[in-house]
Amino acid sequence: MVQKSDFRRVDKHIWELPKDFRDDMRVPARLFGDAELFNAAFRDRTVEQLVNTATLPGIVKYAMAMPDFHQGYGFPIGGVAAMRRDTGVISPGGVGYDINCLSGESRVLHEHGYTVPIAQLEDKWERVQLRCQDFNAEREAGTPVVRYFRQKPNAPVYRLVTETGEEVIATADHPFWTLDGMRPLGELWPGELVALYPFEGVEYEEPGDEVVVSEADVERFLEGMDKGERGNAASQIKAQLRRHGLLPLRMNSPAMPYLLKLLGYVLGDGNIHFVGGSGKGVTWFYGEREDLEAIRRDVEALGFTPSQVYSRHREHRLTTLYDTYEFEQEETSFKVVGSAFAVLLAVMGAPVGAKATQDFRVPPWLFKAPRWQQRLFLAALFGAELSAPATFEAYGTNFYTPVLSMNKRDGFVESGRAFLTDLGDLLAGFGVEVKTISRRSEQVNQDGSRSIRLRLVLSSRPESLINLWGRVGFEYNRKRRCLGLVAVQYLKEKQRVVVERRTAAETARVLQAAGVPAVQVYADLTTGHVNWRFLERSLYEGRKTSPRVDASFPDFETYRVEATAGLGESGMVWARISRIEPLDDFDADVYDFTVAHPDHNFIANGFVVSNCGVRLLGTHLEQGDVAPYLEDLTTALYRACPSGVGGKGRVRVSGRELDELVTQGAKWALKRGLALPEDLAHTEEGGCLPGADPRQVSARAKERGRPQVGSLGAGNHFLEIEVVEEIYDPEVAEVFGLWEGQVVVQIHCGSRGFGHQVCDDYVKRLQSVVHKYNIQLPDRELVCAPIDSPEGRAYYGAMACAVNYAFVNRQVLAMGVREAFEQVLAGKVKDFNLFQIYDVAHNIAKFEEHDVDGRRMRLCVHRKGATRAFPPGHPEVPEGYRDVGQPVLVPGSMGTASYVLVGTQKAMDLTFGSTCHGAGRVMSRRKALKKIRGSELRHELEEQGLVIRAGSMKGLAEEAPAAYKDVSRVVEVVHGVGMARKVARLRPLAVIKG
Amino acid sequence: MDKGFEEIEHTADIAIRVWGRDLAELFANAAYGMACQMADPDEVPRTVEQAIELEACDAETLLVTWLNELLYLNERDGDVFVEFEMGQVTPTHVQAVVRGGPPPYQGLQIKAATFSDLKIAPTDEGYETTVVFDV
Repeated sequence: MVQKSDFRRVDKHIWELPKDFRDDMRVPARLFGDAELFNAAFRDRTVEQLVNTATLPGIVKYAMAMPDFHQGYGFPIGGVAAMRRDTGVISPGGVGYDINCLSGESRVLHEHGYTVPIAQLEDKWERVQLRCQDFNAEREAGTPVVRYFRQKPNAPVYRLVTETGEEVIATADHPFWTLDGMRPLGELWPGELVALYPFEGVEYEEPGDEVVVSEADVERFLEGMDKGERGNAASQIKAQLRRHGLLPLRMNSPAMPYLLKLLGYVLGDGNIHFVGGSGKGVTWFYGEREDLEAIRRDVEALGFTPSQVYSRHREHRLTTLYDTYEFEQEETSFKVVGSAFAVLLAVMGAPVGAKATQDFRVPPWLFKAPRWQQRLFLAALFGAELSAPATFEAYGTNFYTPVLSMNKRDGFVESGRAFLTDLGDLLAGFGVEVKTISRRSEQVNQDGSRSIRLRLVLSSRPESLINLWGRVGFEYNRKRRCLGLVAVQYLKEKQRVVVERRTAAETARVLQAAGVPAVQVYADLTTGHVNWRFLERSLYEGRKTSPRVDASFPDFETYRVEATAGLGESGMVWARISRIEPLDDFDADVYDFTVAHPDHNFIANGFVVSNCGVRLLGTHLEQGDVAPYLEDLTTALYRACPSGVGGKGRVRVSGRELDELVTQGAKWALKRGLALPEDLAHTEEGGCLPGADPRQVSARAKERGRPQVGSLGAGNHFLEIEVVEEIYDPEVAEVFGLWEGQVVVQIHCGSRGFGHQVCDDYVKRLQSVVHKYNIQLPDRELVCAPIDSPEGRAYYGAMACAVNYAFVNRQVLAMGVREAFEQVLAGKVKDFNLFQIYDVAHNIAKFEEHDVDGRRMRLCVHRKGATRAFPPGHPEVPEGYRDVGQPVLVPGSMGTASYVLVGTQKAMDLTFGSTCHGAGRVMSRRKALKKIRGSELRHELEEQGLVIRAGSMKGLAEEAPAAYKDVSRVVEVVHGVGMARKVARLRPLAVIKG
Repeated sequence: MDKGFEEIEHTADIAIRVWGRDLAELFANAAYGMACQMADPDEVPRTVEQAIELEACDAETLLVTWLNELLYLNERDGDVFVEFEMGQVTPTHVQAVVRGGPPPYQGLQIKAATFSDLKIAPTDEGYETTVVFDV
């Protein structure tokens, strides 16, 4: 149970609950309000729901409640939450969030760097961890598989081929990461770019159960070590290893992949020694901090405890035969203190003590291990010691040979050379060639002895490099790994161009031999990388060697920047689609696969469907102009704007028109003559949320929606004639078209039965989805789906329809208002026209860009009973208002004051550009009914001069002002925090409600 | 007869607590409790009869679906249903014939039955749950 004392007051009107309050909270929760409003939050479930909101996957910064908060469904009313964009899963040849329907032989990349055809995961998917992409962090991550499905394809099957030859077979709904985010295969075109993770890895092979480290091996090692208290220490070490499941260590032990990497790395940039020669074992690892963190995690995964990362400033002095070098370095490292760990690695083959002064080889057992295990060893060793991919010049196109160096003291050189030869033998299995093993005398040590530098030089032939960086790669060195991946793709591009040029040269000669004139040949064959000079030379000078790339081919650095634009250091690159071929006779199974990366973001449902919102219309009239006709005007409005239970709308539409209406929003109204162009310009989103998909809306929702277009509904929805009572900001008021004493009209309603049905449909549909994506929900009403899943997309498409329905609804009602004014006031006042000031939504989820901790992020912002409040200068604010900011409409409860505010930059900083929407209830309807008699209330309100047309006394009582928070207080908080600035206060003259 | 439900406090909307000796009775009482919020059951004519059959993935979802179905019929035709002849009712399937008609006065339009606080719990006498209605 949350208590008031669990909150911290971080500002005059901001209260924060830290995220460690509850285990499942992902972000802190924030309440905006003064002290009294804050206390009120604890009288209903607001706070609990706010905390639940903070558990939603992908939520960014804070779960927030605006000062008019009160309990809602799942999410508190007055709630604002933003979720970030997606994560993707890697399959070679494409990146997708869900692997929707890929053919069985498509491979997925396991976290340990091996690939498996999807079909083969059938019996082990629950135990695997795949490599995936976190698009927001722009780096790789690991994720378990949550769901695995095999079925006959239920959509057309295509083969996608990139220009560099990667291929994938998938159904039309398989998503790829494109420049516009995740898009299904069915929508892609040749020539488009898709994100590719160029790592090929090696095929999975089941390892045998041979023992790699036995008890006897450990005993022998310890004896050879002359360990003090031999007997005791030996049994302790063995016991500890056995406890961790590491003794005997078999080739198919789940710990092997981790141990292989640690072994490889220690052989490169690590050191094992026993204190005083026979005491406690200490293992040191050196490297960059982020890589050390990865190693530490693996050490922990095995059950050992790594130290923290130490940072040390070192001054080096290096004397070679040529010169003496002095340099400073910041060195980071960590250690594992414990004999068991050190002994295990040593028995596996790691040398103890200084590597330069002893003989050691690649452990013989490794040659019998499956290739993917060898890969882990090599990749970790390379992560420590192999040079990074680099081109000759700063802007070159050719890579240096990769080199692995090691120092050996005189007398140990032969075994060093043998070790490097061992590596070469292992590498041969990956198609990586060794150019040479060279030796160079380099260092003279303090005691006068010499160290010889041995170098394993690998071939720089493109095929070999592609295998080195694309199949072996680097572990424990993220920078090198990613650079290597980009280099792989670069080399493939280069090869492709070379092939293109060679083919062009041959084709040119063939055409020439067939009698085609040279000019024609040039015209036919010229492409980006094949120009006519090249063709001319091919024809007339003959070719003795294979053509290289042309001058227009980018250097590596330029390529790297372009190909990874927007992809950060994830290792992904953009690849161009060469062709997409339909496979009409594909009759095998396809595989549907879902992962649950903890940072997946979701679109949350059930509470943002209705686009309940407010529209403010201005007139050219003063209160005095209207006073004599107020009763007639109110009656006319009551008739022109249908309200009440089951109320039918002003406008009748057919089924097809309804589909158009929900897709186009206010634009449809414009086409039907039910709107003026200025109305759309002054509506949030122009009155049309893009992405609406009527196919995602049920027949029942449409059935409910058709008769209700242009109706007010009941409950807390209303229409008011108001007068501007006070102007707080004359400049902004002028821009908005408001002046003191002016008569205005406010309409508050939503998407009616249509929106409610959509909400119902999806709350129900997404109940089962929650199981599918393995989402833990503290509240069933807080149901949601990953934004880029089929269900998430379907929900968004349906929600956008409901949003557009509401915009149309308010637009049609506005026309009703115009009609009523004309009907009553024509001939009696100079100008009875109404103009649109603004229309805002209160319940909506939108894709917006915001700055989070200095980074621009694309978020799905959910506002439930909260209004958007964009600042001056924001491109989405209508042009006429852009200098001052977006109008924010805050209706009070029926019969009380309403406010007009303007959005600020502070809102962008604090609340993703959001603020309150109204007053918020404090009293239940039952209580209101008990305490307040509708007829008495009506009398009271009429005494105040308010004209009322209400469909039900009961409804009136339930909506009594006493049942609501004081909106003035809410607005004061908002103004005080700076989320929005007061512009004007409005006082009602007449109220129409159902 | 024990009416099978009672109203409870809720800030923004309507909530009732419902009980029943078995699932069928729980469903019937929930529907009756809901009808009572909309109109006076004594004033509802018994002129319309409707057969309903629904399925859902679990009992809570089924209850919400059942109540929302009755609300949909209310919005479409204006009928309030107050008599329930329950057929087979399992956690995933409900079959019933409902009777009611248009009341002379409907005071409240309920937008939907929600999952909020909904948990069908077994008791010594049968089952119990809370239902919150969005109004």
